[in-house]
Amino acid sequence: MRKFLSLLGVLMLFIATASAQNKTVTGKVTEANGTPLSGATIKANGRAVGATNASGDFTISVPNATTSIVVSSIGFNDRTVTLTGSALTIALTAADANSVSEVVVTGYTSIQRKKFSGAIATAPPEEIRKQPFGSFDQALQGQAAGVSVVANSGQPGAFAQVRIRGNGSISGGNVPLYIMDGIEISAADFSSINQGDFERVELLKDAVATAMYGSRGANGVIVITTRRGRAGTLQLNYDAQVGWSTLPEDRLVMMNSDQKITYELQRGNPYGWTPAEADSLRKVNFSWKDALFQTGMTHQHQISASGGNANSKFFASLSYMDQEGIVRTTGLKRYTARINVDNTVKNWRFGVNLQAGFSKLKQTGEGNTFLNSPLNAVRWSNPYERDRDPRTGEFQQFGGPGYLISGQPNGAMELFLDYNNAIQLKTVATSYLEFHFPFLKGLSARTNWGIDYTNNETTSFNDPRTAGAQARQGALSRNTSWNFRYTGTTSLNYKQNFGKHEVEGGLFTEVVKNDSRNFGFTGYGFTNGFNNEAGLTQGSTANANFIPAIGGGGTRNGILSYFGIFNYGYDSKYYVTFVGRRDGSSRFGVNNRFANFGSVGVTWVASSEKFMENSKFFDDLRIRASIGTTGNNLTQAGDFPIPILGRSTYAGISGWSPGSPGNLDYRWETNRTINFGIDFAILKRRLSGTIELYDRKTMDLFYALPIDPSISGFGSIPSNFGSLRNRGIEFSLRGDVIKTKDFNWSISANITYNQNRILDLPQDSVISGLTILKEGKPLNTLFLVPFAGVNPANGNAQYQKRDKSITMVYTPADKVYQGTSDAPWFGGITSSWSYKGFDLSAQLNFFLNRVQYNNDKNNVTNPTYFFDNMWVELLKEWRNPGDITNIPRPSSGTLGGTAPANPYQSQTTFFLEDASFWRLRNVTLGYTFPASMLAKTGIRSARVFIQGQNWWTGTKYQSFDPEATGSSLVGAQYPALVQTTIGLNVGF
Amino acid sequence: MYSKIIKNTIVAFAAFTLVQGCSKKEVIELTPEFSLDALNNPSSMRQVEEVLLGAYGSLRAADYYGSGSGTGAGWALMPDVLSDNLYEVTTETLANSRAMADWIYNSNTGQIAGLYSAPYSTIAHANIILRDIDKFTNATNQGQANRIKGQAFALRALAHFDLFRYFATNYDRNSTTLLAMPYTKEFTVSTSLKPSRSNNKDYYDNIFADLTQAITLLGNVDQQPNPATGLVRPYIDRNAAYALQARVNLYAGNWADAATAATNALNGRPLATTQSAFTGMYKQTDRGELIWNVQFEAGQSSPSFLVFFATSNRSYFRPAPEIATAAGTSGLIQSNDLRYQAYFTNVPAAGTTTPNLAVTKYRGKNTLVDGNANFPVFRSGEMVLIRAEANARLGGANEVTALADLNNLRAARISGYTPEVLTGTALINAIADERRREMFGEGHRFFDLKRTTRQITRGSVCGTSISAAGQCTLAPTAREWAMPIPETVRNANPNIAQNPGY
Repeated sequence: MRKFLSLLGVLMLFIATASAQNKTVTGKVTEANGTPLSGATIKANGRAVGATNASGDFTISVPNATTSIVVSSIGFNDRTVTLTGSALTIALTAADANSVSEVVVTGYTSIQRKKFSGAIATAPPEEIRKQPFGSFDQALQGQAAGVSVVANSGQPGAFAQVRIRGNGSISGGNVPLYIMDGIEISAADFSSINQGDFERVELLKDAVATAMYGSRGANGVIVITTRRGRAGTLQLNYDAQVGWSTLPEDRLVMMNSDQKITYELQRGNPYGWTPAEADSLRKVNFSWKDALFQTGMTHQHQISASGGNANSKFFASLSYMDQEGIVRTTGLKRYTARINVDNTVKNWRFGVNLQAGFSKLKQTGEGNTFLNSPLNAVRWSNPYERDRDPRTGEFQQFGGPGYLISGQPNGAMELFLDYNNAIQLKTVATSYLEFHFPFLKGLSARTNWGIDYTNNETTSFNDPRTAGAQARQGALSRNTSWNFRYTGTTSLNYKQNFGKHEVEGGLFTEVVKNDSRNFGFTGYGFTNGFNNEAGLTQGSTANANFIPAIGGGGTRNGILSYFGIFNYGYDSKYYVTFVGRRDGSSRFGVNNRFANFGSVGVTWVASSEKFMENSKFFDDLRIRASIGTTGNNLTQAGDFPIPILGRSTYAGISGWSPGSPGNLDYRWETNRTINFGIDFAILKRRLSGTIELYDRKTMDLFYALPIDPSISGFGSIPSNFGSLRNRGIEFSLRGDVIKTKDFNWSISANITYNQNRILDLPQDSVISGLTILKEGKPLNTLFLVPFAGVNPANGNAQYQKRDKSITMVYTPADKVYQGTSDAPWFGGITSSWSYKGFDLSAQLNFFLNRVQYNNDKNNVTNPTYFFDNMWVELLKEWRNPGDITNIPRPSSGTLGGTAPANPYQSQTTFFLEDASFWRLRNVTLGYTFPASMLAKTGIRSARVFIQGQNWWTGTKYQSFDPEATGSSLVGAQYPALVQTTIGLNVGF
Repeated sequence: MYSKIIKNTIVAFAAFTLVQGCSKKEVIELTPEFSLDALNNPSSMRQVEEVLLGAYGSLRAADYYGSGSGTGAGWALMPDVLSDNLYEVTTETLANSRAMADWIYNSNTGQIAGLYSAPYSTIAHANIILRDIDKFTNATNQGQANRIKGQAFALRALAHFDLFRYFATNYDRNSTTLLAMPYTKEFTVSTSLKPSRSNNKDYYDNIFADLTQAITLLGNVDQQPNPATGLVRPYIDRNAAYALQARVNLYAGNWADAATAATNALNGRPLATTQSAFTGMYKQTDRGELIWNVQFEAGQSSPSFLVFFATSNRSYFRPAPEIATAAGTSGLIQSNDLRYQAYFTNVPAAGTTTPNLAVTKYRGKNTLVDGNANFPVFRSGEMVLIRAEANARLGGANEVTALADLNNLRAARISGYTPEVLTGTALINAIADERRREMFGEGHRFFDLKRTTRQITRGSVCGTSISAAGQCTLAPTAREWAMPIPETVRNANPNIAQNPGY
């Protein structure tokens, strides 16, 4: 702590003051209710000249000619005050979310929302900061219309699947672009980033909003601005949370010991239990869940400091997070540090943001159907077998080394003896230099450069005692990789008002370059008890089995862009934005690397019109429209679409094999977005909202065009073909239901309907596994044969044919469309109450009208696998003629010719489930201590709270958790955590 | 004055932009650093030879001779799975190849698509070599060029023949109406080229032409592809080219040519007669009677995992009791046969002690049990049996030679074997039985039945609780004798006709 303070002291030395032919102005800034407001910025002549101190007072020095100052503070409406010569008392009114005066940040520049024609949502930063997720993207769920956030894993630190206005690409990337402080940061890679540092998160959705990132903005852009220093006295904050997480309710019920033994005996007693053995095993009822799951503890601490004066400001923070997973041994540890400094010297502005983060994830295999995944063992291990032999305390291995009797590996051995870690060191550093030309007011030049450097090390260790690892005496794989990306943007900007005309424009050039390298090895021969490199046995011809495998590689790509943005406003009523760009990406064929994109948007502030001013109904009404194109360079073909020979080896000698057919005409995937938006505020701004209608059409889709392998050995060629459309409506509403001095109740809600449709394919109706690509249907449309119950006479499974008749003969030709796993309806509802110092909020999120294939259930329903534990419903399987049940007979033969063959079929609607869900995402109860109570303690502010994540989930889906991406829940699900934490925020 | 300043500023900005524009080379015009650009390569004889190694490597693909967990091994163990040699073990299988084992495959079955594309990958390698090698050939490296080209021709013939074995409806040599596959002699990356299926006659003609080239070229080389001594023969030499010629002639019914080619293949490759020499071929401890093996190095998979997951001793499939039993006293291969020890081991299922035979041919090299083993594509035993069968079918005086080969082989395999005297159908049947014994687990049974009886009747455990297969017989008329053309291929290339019945 002492070191930290001295560091801050050093920073303070940078603070300088300027003086000239000036006069002194003093005053006090307060909230509407008179509470002093600290940290408010005072601007004169377009430049910050000072800020208020802890008691809201300020003293500034301004040129003699200055007649007015502008006072601003985040969360409040700006106010322009005329200088009177005497001390001023300035009261600021609180800004509503989405209010006209709110500023939106679209990248390196910010613009008043009022003037902006693009579709932008702002995620409330306090909601993101407070939620204890190891990956901040999960906290975005339900926060903004049009943005779907689905976590696929409860592993602490695991990222979520974020989609802005649907999936726009069939085979290319659908991941939004993430921008932090003006530079690109790697998507889905947030375990080393601390959301406690976030000041703003904006979600840019249409072509005008993403214009600055036209070359990469097709999937939307998430712009993160980290916290800036505030002028004024040094403020220190300490935030802490401590809590626990537990396993959610399991809706897929497995057999208990008694049931499983009954089932085995019913199926012919494959293990040959004697009656005595069977009776004793029936009583075991071992809980594999208890053996492998735990209540995980979470700790989180952050210290931050902010301060400075009008010319030099800083923000600094240190954070620590330790989150245990609900699967034993798993968890996340994270350490981050950040310093942001902004300086103004004469006509120069200069700033640096530095962040370093280190995280260590302890994981376990998930999302697979491997026998040796502990998360599958939870379901599959027989309940009459145990992790450890109670007589000896040793791992049970009655089926051979590492195995249970059933041939299922002992999952406890894999979980406790193996390890699977991911270590990350991540540095994001950005700096900017801005020069305001003295000779022409409003003209400035700016250059912004930054790096995102990530170093990863992943390690997995297979203990020689575990199943399948004896042959090579264990295995240790360690892979290291680094990724380095720099982003540089240089611009010339002009901004000036001429009477009723507002003109603003900029010319930009941008360069983004990404380099990555990786290296790894897998070694064997862990005979001396060590589970790291010290245990490796070097292989040789004498023990070829221990020869380690080594490998590595790397790649690079770059983007070069030139663009111009021009905004024009007239009379504070009409605004228009034009964007034109030319972008080049290394990822395309030499013939098509560069492409042009553009967009145009208009805003009409209808409420400023004379005829509207008389109508008392609308306090604010704006109508926006935009159209434009953006590009996607997250290709399917990787970084180099040229024909490639890749390395291969044979008999110990290196060779070459055709690696990729390439396509020299490979080009950009283009999105054309039309957006129509209305922003309104009524009832004295107590009810405000936004409606957006959009139509996003993706053209020149990345598509691996299938070819006959006979001519080249390749099954497809990277190409651009076809189109698809996402269109929908987004509705956001915020209302103050009750607004009194002591008691406030507000509700905000957002709901999105996104319709995803494939318009055009080079080849229609391509079936891939469980899904089909079909014109007129959405992506991830499940395509399955309808299951039509069980024939009571012979126990055969029955299926519905296309003509609705029932058959006992399965044929893939009877598959029909079944809906999609991407919820077309989703959103979130937040209700907040406050009474004096108490506040209570609850957020309810929903994803509706989605289906998903439950492969986790398929894994435990296939009668072939009855040597392992099964779904409890299988006890009801057909046994005798006349049985009425939904579970077919387990045998597949023809019953001596009396019935058709009955092979187990998995691609049927039997495993299709309604995966819609409602989820109480967050509940927070807090108490803020009144300033009067704290006055003598030296504490500026203090708040305590308790919050819960995912306390309740409503769904019919039979699994641990319905929140899972993709068309199929494969297996080994790491369920989302049910968390409760108690938190403290203190300011000094 | 302002206008001048503005102008200057814009010029300065433009200059800066230009500087950044120079970085176009650094940012946009990037080339891969970890792979070879195929627009300008291979660019030397050495690189052409490296493509040949890539061609051999392609044979390790999971759907060629390699395998996944309970899948793959298309030309290694899959023909045994498809036949009556193996049964699927109810309590151990993961059912990953159920569609294949139960003959319920259709044009959407993933493994069928793999069977179609894997050999064409090898063919693509060969065609790249044959396209480029003449560019780098001169008077001094003619021998090297012959060696590389000869192997490329042989590989191209092998891969085409392997496709033919699965996808042709019938092996008739001279039919101009039965459909084979497209015979690809050029490497072409194109979305517009859509070849049709060649007829059987043209297809055979092309295979034989490639083999003739291979044999000629491999007779005039700078050095032998395989070292004079060692434990393996990982490259196709002249013997191997003759061996393939013998096998193709056998399928084509060219009995005299088959016998001649087999004799040529056997030149310098006598039968292994001891247990250690015979077992050594599978354990890489002795090259025994290997003519050509596909090499699998440590960590490069194996043919085994379709049937036997060595590292966990799990048998997805086990030998039918008609082949061999744990007691070793019944079935075709018994404990007095050196093949018994080389092919099988008693590996009871997890948690049980009941003796049970597993196919452990490819269990691992030397004493290892990691499933990493080489695959013997050609060995002398097959050549002796090809010659025997060809002579038996020629009949007459040739039956004597046939019987001699049969007795010879049995004597080399079975301890205390007393020569038999057989003629006519009895001789042909005895040779077929011996072929089933000898080639067990080496990818022949399904094809041998297809070219002879066209009838599969699985043995006693089929349809019982031990092996709950839905189907135990495959009739001669069944469509499943020929694999369907994958739907993905037909969608991409409508000129490829589907096989009858699919």
